[in-house]
Amino acid sequence: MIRLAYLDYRATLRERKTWLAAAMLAYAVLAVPILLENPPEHVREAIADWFGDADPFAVFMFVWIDLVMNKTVALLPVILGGGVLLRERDTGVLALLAAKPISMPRYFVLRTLSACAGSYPRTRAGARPTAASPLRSPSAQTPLQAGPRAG
Amino acid sequence: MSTDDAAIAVHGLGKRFGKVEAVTDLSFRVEPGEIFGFMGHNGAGKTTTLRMLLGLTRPTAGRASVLGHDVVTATLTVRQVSGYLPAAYALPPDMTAREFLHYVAAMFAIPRAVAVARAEALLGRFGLVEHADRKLRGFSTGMTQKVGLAQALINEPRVLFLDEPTSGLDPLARHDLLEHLRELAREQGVTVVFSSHILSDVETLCRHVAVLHHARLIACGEIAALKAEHGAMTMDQLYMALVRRQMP
Repeated sequence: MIRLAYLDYRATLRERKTWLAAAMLAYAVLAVPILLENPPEHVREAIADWFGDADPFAVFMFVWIDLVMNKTVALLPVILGGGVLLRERDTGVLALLAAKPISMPRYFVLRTLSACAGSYPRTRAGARPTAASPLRSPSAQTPLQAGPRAG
Repeated sequence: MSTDDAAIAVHGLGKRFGKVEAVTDLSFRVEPGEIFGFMGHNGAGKTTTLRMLLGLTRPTAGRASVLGHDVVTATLTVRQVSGYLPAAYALPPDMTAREFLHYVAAMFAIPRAVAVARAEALLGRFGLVEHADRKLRGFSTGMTQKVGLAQALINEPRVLFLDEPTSGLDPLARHDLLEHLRELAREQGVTVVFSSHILSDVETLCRHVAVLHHARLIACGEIAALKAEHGAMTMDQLYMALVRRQMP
């Protein structure tokens, strides 16, 4: 079972869907600096109220935490896991794999866990370079507007 | 486990989907190491029967066992000793042939070293070594069918269920596939249930056959005996004689 989970996890990492998710994360990472270039005044004031200062680092952390923790991490595993059943059925792969000595509930739990685990290193990989980089930021007009409190 | 020494024993098996009878009162047995033909037109109930024998569809009547294991109460045990190639399927496009075989082996909890050895042997047997590290999305129909058959053999099954395995294959690939099946039965004693509506394939490969027509078994026995009984020279003539007998 552990080997199957490991192989399934590796297969998930190579799927187009995972690479699409990674591309979305990369886009977010690149967009954050552009957004942070000129954050709306009300957002800057809100951050200053909350953290005592709206310096670039605080604004960056505000955006990043909102983006990564509230949105991306919450949504990606659900999206990846939720697609398992439909994809297996639609592609016809299920016709082969359903005949193996593993019950369907167990198989889908495994596939969903694998999809969730697959999203984790992408998130971590996206976080590392940005955390070290300056806080100029883009993509996130939406995350900024939603804010951690709303998220 | 039952004491029945048949590889497959089916007694009064039936399946109903709402008002539709997919299979009705089906009974036959298959001896170990035999290649058993399962004939019938599209929609006759062949696929439903195979799915019931693998525990993928629950029968609504009767009972069946594979190597003595009941197909309803010991489903996972039946699958552990069986290989299955469905009529319609796809391979995961982002995996390579080698990765897919390892993946399927892991579903059988086959130890890694054994899985690697078996996968290499199957890749070699089906002439897939050169393509083993290519993504499956680019495979032709013939190559896909070879990978499909390889995955069905990764657990060294004692019973192999093949549903229309020669459909879509060119004559050469078809010939190779039939040869592989003969070898499996002859050299490894694998029991093969070969479902097909291509009568020449059934005649080439099988000695005993069951013929389904509109969800019912209309004949079962040795092909030569059935031909003699119905005065048929060819499988086509035999099939037509059996089917015409059912017409009002």
